[in-house]
Formats: sequence, structure tokens, C-alpha cells
Amino acid sequence: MPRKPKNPHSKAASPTAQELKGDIDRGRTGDNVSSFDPGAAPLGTDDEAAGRRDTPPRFEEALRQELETGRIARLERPDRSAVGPFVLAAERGRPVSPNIQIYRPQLTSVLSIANRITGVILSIGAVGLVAWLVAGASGPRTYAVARDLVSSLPGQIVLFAFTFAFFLHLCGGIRHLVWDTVHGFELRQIYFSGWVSVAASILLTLAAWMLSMIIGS
Amino acid sequence: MIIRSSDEVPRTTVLKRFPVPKNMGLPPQSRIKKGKKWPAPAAAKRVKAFEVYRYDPDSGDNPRIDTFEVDLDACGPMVLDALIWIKNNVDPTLTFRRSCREGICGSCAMNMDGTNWLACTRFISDLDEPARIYPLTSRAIVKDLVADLDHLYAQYRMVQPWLQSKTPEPDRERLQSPAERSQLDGYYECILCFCCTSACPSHWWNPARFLGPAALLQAWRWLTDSRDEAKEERLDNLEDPFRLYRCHTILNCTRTCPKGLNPGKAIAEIKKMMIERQS
Repeated sequence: MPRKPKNPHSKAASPTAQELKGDIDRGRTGDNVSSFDPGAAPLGTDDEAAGRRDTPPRFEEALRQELETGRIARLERPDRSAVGPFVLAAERGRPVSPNIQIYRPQLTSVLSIANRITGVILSIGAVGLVAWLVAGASGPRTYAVARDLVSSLPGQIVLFAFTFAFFLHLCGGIRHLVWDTVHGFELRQIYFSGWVSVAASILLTLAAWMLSMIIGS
Repeated sequence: MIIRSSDEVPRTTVLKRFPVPKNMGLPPQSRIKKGKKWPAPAAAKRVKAFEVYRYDPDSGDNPRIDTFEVDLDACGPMVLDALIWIKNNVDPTLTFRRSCREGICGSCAMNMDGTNWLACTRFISDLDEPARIYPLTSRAIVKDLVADLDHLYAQYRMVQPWLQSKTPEPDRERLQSPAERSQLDGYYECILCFCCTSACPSHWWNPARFLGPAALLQAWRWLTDSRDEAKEERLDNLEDPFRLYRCHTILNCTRTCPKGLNPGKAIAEIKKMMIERQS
């Protein structure tokens, strides 16, 4: 039986991806600690980007599974697979060993985080791009303000950072595309493609700026 | 710069750990306090310090970090030797799992200098000064370096790691060609030490819902077995937004596997098989 979202402010008959995320983050689904869950961040957005938007019944099913997970945790069923170490630790009065606080940063994890961060930066950058277009459409005076802002030193630095974020995200995306075909999984290939994507994004950033300077002058 | 196999220890490191507060996000009873210092015997010439995570369930105190000074001339070359030396000579209450001392049982998996590995196959000389010894990351802790693996075993059970057939029992063994048998190479060798699952950031954030690299490698080991006849059911079981698809190909798993296996590749194979069956 699909249940309504636990969010007390929800008016929708079926949960949306946002509400599901909120319920997970607030610990309402009962299986985790109440904190931001970065793993739930792409919920909904991944499918949307792939052009396969999820339907309300799918979110109802996801919520049902979430609640089921919490219920299992509370009832202490013999199947512990869906409980998780936090619940396990709390139930048995045990501490949890640290993870991100002590794990050594490696090219693997650092580039993965970088891909997430640059993705967020590019989303913000897209808003900036729209603002720039709106300024252009609003007339020469507004556009002049936007142009001055972009061509100021801080504006140029931000733009340079955006360019680098764009290329790092692009190279990371290509790397993931190749991985999705089950190629390049030998450890030396993983490290090689990682360093190549870092070097390529630096070179492409510099090349893009040099090109724009040549065209500009 | 380029790591060729998982047993390579990085020579240069920019960051020993991520720049976050040491107890960030940990529940109050999990926060780590300062512990005792146990000095080396006066006669010791070559001394190395080991910072070891301690937790005593009987005291009710929080976990703490004790510093042990180890006489390197008196103990063997491996980290496990140092731990045994501490237990025999300094503090007999130091608790850890160990059995085979040759990297085949998977008991002594722990976090050394920030990466998960087997204490019996990691050289003391590869560790920093002081060496940092923690239990497997992101686990409920029973005592000191002993992690509660119940949850991970339950997740392993979820992939039904046994041969499933629908055809009648043959009169003899189920035969495989050498080519079919070679499909299992690189997967059947898993010793279930859970270094990989404990190293996986996706599993840190979604331990309850994501199966993790160790269980998924086992899932692939059965999916690619020519004798198994439950492929569709196995894939149905994994077709879920979290169980399989919380893997974001971070590949900390492949970097840390003490047996040199490739859980990341196994998961990519499952994802590919999943797509192939849709088309």
C-alpha cells in the first residue's frame, strides 16, 4: 500500500522527488541519521537529464521502500540487509568508525568529488548565462552594465574558473562514458585517464582563453 | 602519479586526509577522544609510533586514540606483527581479528594511514611516522579494531551467492569450457574482507540501501557463471535506484582491494548487462 509522504507540509497526493529527498535527509524514513544525504542528491535529476522523468507511482514505490527499510530497522527482522551500520550501532550501543574524516584523498575520490562540485558550479553558471542573455535582450544600457561586470578583474577570474569547471566536467563526463562501456578499468588506466582529464582541462581552458583573446583583439 | 596495482603505496601525498573536522557528522558516542601514550621499552633502539583507535565497550567511554611506541627490532616486518607485539608486550587488552597472516582469510582488514588493507600484508616501513591505525571505515565497532560486519554479510546474502539451476540435476558435474571458467577469474578470488565496501563513499552515505562493491562483485561472479540459470531473477533483484545504481564509479574499491580484484569493473559489467537486457 503506497503511503503518503511523511512531510507534514505536503499537499500533493503522491510524493515528488524533492519531497522524497527531504524525507530521507530529515531521517523521516527511519533508516539513517538525520543529515544531508549527498547520495540522494541525483534522485530524480539523473532520470530527468536522461529524458526519462520519473512518474509519481515510481516515487510512491521508492517512498514505500524507504519506509519499509525504516520499519525493518525498528522491528529488528532477521534480515538485516536494509538496516545499515548507523542503526546497527545505535541498537547495539556501539560507536561508528570515521570514514571521510580519515580516508586518504586519492585521485579516484578527488576527481569524483570534483565532478560533483563542477556540476554544481556549472548549474550556477547557467543561471549567470541566462542573466547575461536577459541583460542583452533588455537593451544596450543594461547590457553595458553586464559587460562591465564580466570584463572587470573579479568577473574575469570567475569566468576563468567557470571555463576550467566546464572542461573538467566535460572530460570527467567523457571518462564516465567510456567506463559505462566497460573499458579502461585497469588501475593504471583509471589513473592515466584521471591525470589526462586534469591536464586536458587545464590545456583546453588556456586554449579557449587564448582563442578568445586573439578573436577579441 | 600513476598507480599500477592496488598494493602500491603513494610516495607523495598532498593531503593525508580531507580538510574536514575530525569528528564531523559522527554521533556523540562515536566522537574520538585523546587517549594514552605507551612509551617504548628503554632498551629499544629503532622505535616507531602507532596511533591506534581504541574502544572499550565495557567502560562506556567514547573511542580514543592511544599512541604505542613499538620496538621495531623486536617485532616482525608487517603491521599485524606490530599489533601482536603491542598485545604481547604492552597492552594485552588491544583487540583485533587475525588468523592466516598471509592475506587469504581477510580477518585483519583495517584502515592504515587512511586506506583499507590487510594488516598482515602491509609493511610497517610503508607507513608514516606516526602510523595511524583505525578499524575499517564507517562500521559499527565491537571493540578496538574489531568491526561489526553483520550488515555487510546480510547484504552479501541478498545477492544469493550460490548456484541456482532450473534444469534437472545432471548425473555428473556441471561442465564448463576453459573459456567459460575464465570468466570467473578476478571475481572468485574475493575473500570478503570488505576493504572495498568500507572504502566506498557511496556506501558511506547509503549503507542501508546501496549493496556496496563487495556484494556487487559477488553478484557479478554468479551472473557471469555459465552454470547459473537465474540470471533474470538476479538482475530483477538489482534493478533498483539504490542497490546497484548508487555506484557512481568513484573506484576507491578497485584502488584498495588487497587481492588486486576489480569490483568497479564488475559493477560496470552488471550495469551493461542490465542495459543489454532492456534492448
